[in-house]
This record gives sequence, C-alpha cells and structure tokens, in this order.
Amino acid sequence: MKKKIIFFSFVLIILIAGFNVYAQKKTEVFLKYSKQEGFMRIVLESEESFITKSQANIVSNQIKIDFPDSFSLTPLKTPPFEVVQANKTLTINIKEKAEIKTFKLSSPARIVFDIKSPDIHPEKTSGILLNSFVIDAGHGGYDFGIIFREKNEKDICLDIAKELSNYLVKKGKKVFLTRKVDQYLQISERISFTNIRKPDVFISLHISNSGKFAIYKPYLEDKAGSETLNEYSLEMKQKKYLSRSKELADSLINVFKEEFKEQIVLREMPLPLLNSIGAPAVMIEFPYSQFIMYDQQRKTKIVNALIKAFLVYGQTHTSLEYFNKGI
Amino acid sequence: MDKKKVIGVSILLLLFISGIFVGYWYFSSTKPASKGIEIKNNTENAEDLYSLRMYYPAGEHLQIEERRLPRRTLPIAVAEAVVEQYLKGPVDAKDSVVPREVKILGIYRGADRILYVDLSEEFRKNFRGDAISEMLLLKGLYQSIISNIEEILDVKVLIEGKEVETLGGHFYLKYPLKGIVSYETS
Repeated sequence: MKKKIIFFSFVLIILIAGFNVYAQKKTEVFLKYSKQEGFMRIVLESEESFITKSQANIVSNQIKIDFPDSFSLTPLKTPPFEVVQANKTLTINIKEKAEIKTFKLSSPARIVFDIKSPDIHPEKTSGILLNSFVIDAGHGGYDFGIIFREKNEKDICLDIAKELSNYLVKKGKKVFLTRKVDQYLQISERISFTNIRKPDVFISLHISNSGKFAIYKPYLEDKAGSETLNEYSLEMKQKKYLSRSKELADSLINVFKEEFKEQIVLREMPLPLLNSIGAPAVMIEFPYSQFIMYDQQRKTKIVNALIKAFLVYGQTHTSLEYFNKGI
Repeated sequence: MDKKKVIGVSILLLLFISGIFVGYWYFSSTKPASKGIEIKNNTENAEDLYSLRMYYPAGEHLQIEERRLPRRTLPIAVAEAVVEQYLKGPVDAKDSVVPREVKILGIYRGADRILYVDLSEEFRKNFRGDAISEMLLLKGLYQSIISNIEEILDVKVLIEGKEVETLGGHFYLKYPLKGIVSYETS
C-alpha cells in the first residue's frame, strides 16, 4: 500500500511538473485592436524575441502569423473579426476584402496591422464619398496677398487649410497641402504638385477684397486661331472635369449661403490655376472687411462649411465613379 | 579793256558778298521761328491738347475717364503717356487697386505689334488685391493702351526688365494680356 501511494505520488509529481514545463513554454500574446473612422488597427504584443522571430503573411483579407513557438492568446476585448489559433499559427480573418499594411514595433514589442476594409472605410463612416484632396493655401512667402491689420491673407489661408486638412486626415482621407509653411510657391508649382497627385477635389483658398464670399469656377474659351492662346491652352487640363468643377462650385455656394446667410458671388474666370488642374477644381475667396475677424471660431465655421460642401458634392461623385468611367 | 575787267570782277565780288548777306539773313531769320514752335509745344494751348480714354478698375468693372494731355505724334510717346496716366490712378484714387510708386522703366514696340511695358518692382510689390482686382488692373492697362494706340495689338508687362510669372498670384503675367482680359465681367 505504501509502495502504491509513493508510486501514484511520483506519477502525479511528474504530471504536474510536465504540465508546468509545457505551460512555461507557451508565450503569452496579447491581442488588442482599435477601430476608428477610416481604419482599424490590430496589435499583437509579446516578448521581443518572440515578435522578432514571428512572420506575418497577408493573403487577401486573411492575416496569418507564424510564431516561433506555441503561444497563448489573450484578447483584451472581443474582436469584431474571426481569430483562429492553431499551435504556432494565428489566423485573423477580416470579414470583407481589405487593404492591410503590417509593421513591427518595439518597446513593447508588437506586430501592427493597419486595415482599411469596406466595412470600416471612411466613405461610409464619414459620409464623404471622396478619397483625396489637394488644398492650396493662396500666396505665401514674400507674396502676402491682402494685408490685414492683424494678419495677412497668406496666414489666414494657411490656418484654414491646415484645419481642413487635419479634419479630413482624421476621417482617413488622403490630403495634400500645396504648402505647409509660409513659403512662396509659383502658380506652375501648385499646378504640377496637384496634377501628380490626381485628387478627387482641388480647392484653392484666398481672401476677397470685398465683404463677400466669392467662388471661382474654371472658364475655358474657344482659343482657336491665336498662337499665344494656343500655347496657353496646352495647359488646359481642366476640360474634361469642367462639369464636375461647376457642380463642386454649386455645392459650395449652396452650403455657404445656408451657413453664413450671406450673398455668395460666383465667378467663372480663366484662372490658370483652375484651368490647368486635371481634377474638379474651385477657388474660394473668404470675405474681408474691417468688421470681420478671422478668429478660431470663424475659421472653424468656414472649415465645417467646406466639409459640408464636400459631403454634398461627394454624394453624387465618388472616386470609384471616376475610376469606373475611366476619367 | 582793263577797266571792263575791273568792273566785271567788282560786280562778281558784290554778288558774292550780297549772297553771303542774303544767306545770313535767311538762316538767322528761321531761328526765331523754331523757337516759336518750342514755346508753342510747352504751352498747354487748347488747340494742341488731345484726349486719352483711360480704363480704371472700379469695383467689379472698368470705369472710363478722359485725360487731356499735350499732343504727341509718335505712338510710343502716346503709349508712354497712357501708361504714365494709368499708374497715376483714377481721379478718386482712394480705394484704387492701381499700385503706388510704380516707375516706367521702358516702353518698347515689338515687330509683332506687341507693346512691351517695363515697370518697376513696385507694380508687383504694392499690388494688394483679389483675383478680380488683378484681372481688372491688367485689363484696364490693356484697354487704355489698345483704345488709344491703333497699331498696337497686344500688351506684355515686364517687371524690372524681366518676364515674371504673376502679378498677384492669380493670373499669369508671362503671356501677353489679351488672353487674360478677354474675360467679360458681368
């Protein structure tokens, strides 16, 4: 009997010890995720050597991570995607087709997956069915534009451009500013910058001499027969976007009328900056008068109106539509 | 015979001397006449004044003003007068967008009948305006020149003798103005 007890105790000790050894081999991997408008981020956090030796493969909407050893997965909250754990491999299935980017970071060691998928795409969540924007802050550098008592046109335009850009970036949009600082840019530099990026919308921000908002849409003339004008017309990339530019201008007029309860002037002019842009393009001038102060409140109101106008315009024109139509 | 010779030589001598006197009298008498023309040009006599039609930006359109100046016959001199008057601005220059302190550095007429107007840096530096102001400033200059000098077909503005891209950041200045100013303001 005594022998039997000793034997079973020995077996039990071996089993517990074996279990402990097995348990110690499993490295803990923490699964975290954050979901924002525009994208989702999945993070797998573990020991440095474990993360370094792991390998991630992305096929379509599936992420497969091969760890160097078996592991135990600890999700910090229930994820909105399917997770399959098998020995050394972890598979994450994103519900729909997605654009996935991966990278490793240290302190703490982690693998990060940035996911843009249709179910969390900004177009649905933010409501703006447009993807990319070029925002042009007028003037800059030694070109001050209209000079105010407290500030210049170039500074006010840059402030509004940055605030608009920040908002759109937070919504997951691609935003390009022709200038981010106080620098002089030629018209031709602004044009080539924009045409390389092929945005869904180009907007140039300026200040008006009058106390009214002014919205400019491109104006193309029949330039046959003039050598000078033909040379000029070489840059007329606007032609096929003309109707869209007009619709964008109309959206701006309607929204600004509604938001500011002011008269809005619409001008159709052969501005080289608009005529040479290969995208829907408009220029807006914000009113100037001695009674108007461009404080933060006013700038935010302008930014909100611009976003609303993009929203209205974007309801009928999406990036996908451009793509499908081969424009 | 000798007497006859002496008389003949004397007559020739007299004729020569009288020729000198007549010549002196003729040429000296024309000098006061030329002085008279100069004086006439300097006085602003109503008969020698002529009108220039000037087009100045006013709000969202151009406003015509008439300027009476001493007559100039050479087209280039007329062009200079037009540009000079234009840069002075309209009579009511209080809110004018015409830049101040601008100097004319040169005015040339090209074989292509384009008038090259070379202005000082102040034309660009002192311009403070929006897109419509810039367009009207250039259009006003163009219209003022074209309507006063028949043989000029187009106008090109140079700054400090150089071609510059833009005046105020809205329109190209690197091309002659006709293409820009053909736009009609409503």
